[in-house]
Amino acid sequence: MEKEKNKSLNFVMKIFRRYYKNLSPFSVEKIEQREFGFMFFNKEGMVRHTAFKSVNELSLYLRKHVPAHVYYSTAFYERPDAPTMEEKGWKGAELVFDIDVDHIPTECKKKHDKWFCANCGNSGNGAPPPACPVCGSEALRTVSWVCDECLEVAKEETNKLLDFLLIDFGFSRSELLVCFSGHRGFHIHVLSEKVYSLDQDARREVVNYVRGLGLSFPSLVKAKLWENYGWINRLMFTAYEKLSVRTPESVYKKLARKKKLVDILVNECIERYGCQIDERVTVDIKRLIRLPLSLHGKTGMIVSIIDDLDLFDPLEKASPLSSNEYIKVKLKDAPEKILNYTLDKRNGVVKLPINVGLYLILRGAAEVVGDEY
Amino acid sequence: MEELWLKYPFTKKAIDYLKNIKVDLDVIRRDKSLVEETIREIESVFMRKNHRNYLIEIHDPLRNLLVFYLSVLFLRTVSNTLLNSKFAVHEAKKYYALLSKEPEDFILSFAKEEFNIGIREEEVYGAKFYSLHFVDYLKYAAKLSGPWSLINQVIKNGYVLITRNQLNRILQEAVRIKILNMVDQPLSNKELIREIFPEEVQYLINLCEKYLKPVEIDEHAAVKISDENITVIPPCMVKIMNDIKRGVNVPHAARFAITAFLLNIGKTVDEVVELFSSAPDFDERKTRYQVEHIAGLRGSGIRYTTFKCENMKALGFCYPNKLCKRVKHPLQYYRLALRLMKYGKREK
Repeated sequence: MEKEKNKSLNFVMKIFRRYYKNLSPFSVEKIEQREFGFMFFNKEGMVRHTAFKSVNELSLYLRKHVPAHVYYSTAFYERPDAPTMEEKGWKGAELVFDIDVDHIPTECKKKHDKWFCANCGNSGNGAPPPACPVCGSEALRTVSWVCDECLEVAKEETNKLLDFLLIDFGFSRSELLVCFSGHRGFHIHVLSEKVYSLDQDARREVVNYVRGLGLSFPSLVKAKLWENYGWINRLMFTAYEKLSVRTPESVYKKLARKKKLVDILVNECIERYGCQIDERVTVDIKRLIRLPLSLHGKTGMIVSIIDDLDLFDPLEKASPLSSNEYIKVKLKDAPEKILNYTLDKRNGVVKLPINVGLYLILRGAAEVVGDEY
Repeated sequence: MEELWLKYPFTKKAIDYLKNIKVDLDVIRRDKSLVEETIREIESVFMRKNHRNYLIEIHDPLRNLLVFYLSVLFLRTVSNTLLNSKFAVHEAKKYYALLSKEPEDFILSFAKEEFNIGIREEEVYGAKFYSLHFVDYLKYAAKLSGPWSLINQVIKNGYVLITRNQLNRILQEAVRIKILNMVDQPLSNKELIREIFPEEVQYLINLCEKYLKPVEIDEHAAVKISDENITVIPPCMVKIMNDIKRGVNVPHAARFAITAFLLNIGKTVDEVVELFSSAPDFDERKTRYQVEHIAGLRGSGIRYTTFKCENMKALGFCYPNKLCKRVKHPLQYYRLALRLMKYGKREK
């Protein structure tokens, strides 16, 4: 057992080391002003408050230490390696958004997610309830997986967000860095000098805007004037469709003295266009986030930079390995599906594409057997 | 247009003008009526007033300029942060009233040259509007509440569309921050000012003593947990209270959080209203109305509770200590801390 574990770790380290060794030069905006954090395979905890003068210096570090997880600050600091936040001297921060299916209820979770009660041993499928329905304990453990359906949901949310950023907020696509998180979603970085100075209150306003929080129905005058812009546009579009009318005047005629109907329309509109982001990430101006192009230590996938979201296939585009290679592994309660790859068996020894194997090993659902690696 | 700038003593142009004419403090000292006027100006910060009182006209810009600078000098000598915020709010409202009447071209260059806010002119169906980049908008409007929320604005390609009235109000906020920064700046030769104006400085200090005494709420009660003194009021709430007392203009959500918290631990509406009396934009009638609303004495009759920890964290108000690890809600923290204080610690 111990031997197999070691074999698996060696395999993983080998892949990670090779990836960082072959990684071609990349760029990190204002790298000298960022804090870096690392987590390792054979050590507990996180190494923080690290800084690098250049990408070259960072690359050398990655090759030498082969970390499991690499994070960098969305913030820029005077002294990024200072041990306390006060001493660092905050200068500004990227505007970032995190879309993670973990936070979004999806139908497919019933198929691949499970929860267990640590108290009474009861278990169930799908997202965990607030407390165990049998014994009432809140100590629930979950096992969750990602399938292609989950990722489609995340893509859809990301597309909604991109609409807000490109159309409403007027950023150009070149100012946006869209990354696969390496696991269950996407990170969107806004790299525009203009937004770096936004404080937490201001970022909260941006969050509320993209989530649709606090949206109210505009006056008729406003609707007539600004029918084509922002949320008024989204609201009017929803109203036209629901009420089968085509002008703001007729919308207001139909809605006159029907407060409940107005509320229903507003909620419908928010549900359709509001974007489910993890608001804490956006509001936090001193956050660490995964470094684009680094490897995710729980999946072995690249935090890849995405040009065309709709065409993005993680197993193909975000894997450090070619899918033509195979590896023999012993499965242990593996899910039926990993992203878009369907497994025939859930337990026992199988031969799998090497990227799927790496994923399962890192998630603890498989171990290397045989000596190919 | 040049002379218009002189009406606004905090602008670069006015400051340059003042530098050129080289004012001598000794000459000012002998101008008793000017010193008197300056004291009245600062004093007026404490007077109850409604919007109309601010509709003033400046007939003698140079004298106004001197009064303003002497006020700033006095405030920097007294260096009371509460007085400073109140002064900044007061002055900003005054200049808002003036700005509202200025011609458009002046307003646009005022925004550009003083605050680097580029304002565009917009026309929709013949109606006149203005627009500014949403980052500039949020810089000044994110601290304002309700109708100023970004989601209920019209944003076109990154630019927020606003009316002239909204523009004036945004400039008021910009002016407030600018004046606050001026008076908050430390003064190196305080002693000199005290020597030249001993009575005036003492008078202002007495005024602060009289009007700006912070309210004491027993947030200092503490319990010791593994060598750390832990307050009975959770640290997030202590922070908000201290901010309010120091005259920091805390955001709307924080005001709601502290109000709901205090009401739920048994503070009266009066006590909560008193806490807010040190807020720079304090208006007793409005505050009372809102506090009563949260207490469930008005409107829907629902008594609100404060945010849970998760939301406080999301709002950026969370400053956790050791005890926080064991709770999910500030009220839960309070009850736990009280229990620990009463029965001693029962720690693992």
